[in-house]
Amino acid sequence: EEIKTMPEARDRLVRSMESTTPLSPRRHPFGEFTFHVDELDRSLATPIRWGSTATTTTRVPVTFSASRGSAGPVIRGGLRGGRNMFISQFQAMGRENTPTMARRGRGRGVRRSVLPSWYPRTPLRDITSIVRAFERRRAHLQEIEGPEIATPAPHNRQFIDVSAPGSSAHLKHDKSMMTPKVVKSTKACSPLVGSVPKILLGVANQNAGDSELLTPQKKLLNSIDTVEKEVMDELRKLKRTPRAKKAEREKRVRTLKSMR
Amino acid sequence: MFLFFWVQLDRFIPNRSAMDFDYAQYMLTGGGKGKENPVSTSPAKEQYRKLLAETLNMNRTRILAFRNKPTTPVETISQEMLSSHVQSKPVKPRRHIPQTSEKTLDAPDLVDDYYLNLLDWGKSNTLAIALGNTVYLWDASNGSASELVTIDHEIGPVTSVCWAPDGQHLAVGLNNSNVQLWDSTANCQLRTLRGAHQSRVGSMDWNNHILTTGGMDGKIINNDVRVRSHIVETYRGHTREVCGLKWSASGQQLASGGNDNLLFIWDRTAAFSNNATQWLHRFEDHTAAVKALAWSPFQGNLLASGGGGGDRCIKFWNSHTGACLNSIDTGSQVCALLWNKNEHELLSSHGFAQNQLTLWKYPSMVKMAELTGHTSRVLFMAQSPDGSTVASAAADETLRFWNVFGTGKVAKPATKANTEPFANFSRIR
Repeated sequence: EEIKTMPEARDRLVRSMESTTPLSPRRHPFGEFTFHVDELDRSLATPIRWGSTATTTTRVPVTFSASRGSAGPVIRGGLRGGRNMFISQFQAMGRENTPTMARRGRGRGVRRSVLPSWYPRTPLRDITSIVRAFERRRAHLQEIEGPEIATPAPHNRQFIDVSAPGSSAHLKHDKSMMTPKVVKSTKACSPLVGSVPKILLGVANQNAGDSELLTPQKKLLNSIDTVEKEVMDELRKLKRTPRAKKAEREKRVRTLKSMR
Repeated sequence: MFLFFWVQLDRFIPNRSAMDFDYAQYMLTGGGKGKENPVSTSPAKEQYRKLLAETLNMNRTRILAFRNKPTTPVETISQEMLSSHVQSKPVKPRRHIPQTSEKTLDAPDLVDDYYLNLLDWGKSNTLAIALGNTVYLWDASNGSASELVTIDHEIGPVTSVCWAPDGQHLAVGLNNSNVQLWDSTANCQLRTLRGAHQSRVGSMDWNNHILTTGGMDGKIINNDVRVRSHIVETYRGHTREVCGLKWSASGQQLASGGNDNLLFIWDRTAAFSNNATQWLHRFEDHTAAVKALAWSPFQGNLLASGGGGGDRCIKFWNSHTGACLNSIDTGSQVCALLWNKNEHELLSSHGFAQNQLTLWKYPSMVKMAELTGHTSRVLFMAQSPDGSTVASAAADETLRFWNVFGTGKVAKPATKANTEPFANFSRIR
């Protein structure tokens, strides 16, 4: 008689554990005193990955110099649906936090950052020149509310001589600051991040040959609009490439597989 | 061959040609009496006025002259000025405080919560900032950023970060009440302190090998990181979240501020009873949460505290006697306080409506500068190890750097003797 055996239960899948770094001795000496190091803690710190192999790169679109090397046993949340997930769960309560702040979160209304929504966000990236440009734009827009001041022609030309090389130098400096920090191995948003400085430079060179009738402020506004348009176009283009489509399909397959 | 014109002068009859009639007119018509309201002039302004008078030769007491016209006193007075440092305090040239930030870094996902402490600058010149679930390190010497740790979103977000005195180890407080200890140079975690608090750890401060943690449960706990059983002392007093925690420079006294509007001073030599250490002072003067705390680097028992939105005051305390020395209404929520290590100045960061950083002269509490730039409340501040730069992180998701404190090196007036503006005052163009 054949004994039919039940197929193995699928909820008992063995998940691969990432190999831990060699445990350092219990006592961690430094300076005048030694730390007590928990062995138990180190084993608990092993990250558990959900349905992904060890070779999969992280989904965090972080680009910066790799001078510090990779962090040690790092716990990564599984299948993070974007970096904003925790904000919606973490409510900032208390009298010093006004109720509007507690409900605030990106995509829910008031955006906190001065950067536009299309600008790629990278932790601790130098945005000095960008923020200044937007501050000037905002100040200029506020000026527009008041009476229009007609700038005389010779005064105009004086301005352009001074500011035009300055603005392009500014943007060039910006590019030199950004490029060393772009790491090629990261996926998803990095191709866009790499092309943003190129776009900025292209727009700057474009503006260098503009007519003298435009004030430097108007030129800056134009360049900002141009940059925005170009970045959105770039984003759309990237989404349509076969590689991006493949990546999206792979992501969907992974999601479905994890739900089995 | 030239003639010496020798005039025999009388000591009772003044010499008209030697008199300065302009000065005589000025003195006789009531000049020299201070017209300004003495209340509003600060000591710096007084000193400046005196120096100006001296340079312009306006502090003479005599009008009548009995001898020959004196030689132009310009050069000699300059020399006198240079050598008169012995008597009065040398007046340092006013340093230029840049009104805008020097650098701005992007800080996405910075949690907009008043009660947390997510920014700290370590002795190794590395800045630690917690953005959401991740702790980032920024090396100020070369401007490079790196990720230290990303914690699981179930136990996060990160609620506090604090560098150890050695500048190498970092304590990371979490929303689930645990505290992780990390070695930033080796990029590895050393241990997790558990079971001390029942809710999130929003404030921390080091005292040698003791890590003092303040929790949302109102408890303050001294953790000895050298031993396995790390809880060595508990300070009970706060009834709501402990959001401010600062040890004095001597390590003898601990100041703690909470969401219960209370400010406590704890002393290490205090009595221990009822399974808890008794506080030294309990201040209930503030009418809102007390988060901003700063001990003066010049006076070991001088503490500055700042109140939240309902209080908006900066108060000064003598931690030995318990006296409140001064109270200033700043007009907006005080989020953080920093003392200048080089000058007697205090920097405060604020919320609505200006989101500014205000530099105050101490003890006159005259506003020296107001730094604007942030578009949302400036929640966290940290000072560079050399004391010249201040980093501020605000709810507008930016981290800004301000050269507000100066380098502490005084430019000697001697080097500017020839280019001093009043050296040629007789030749005003």
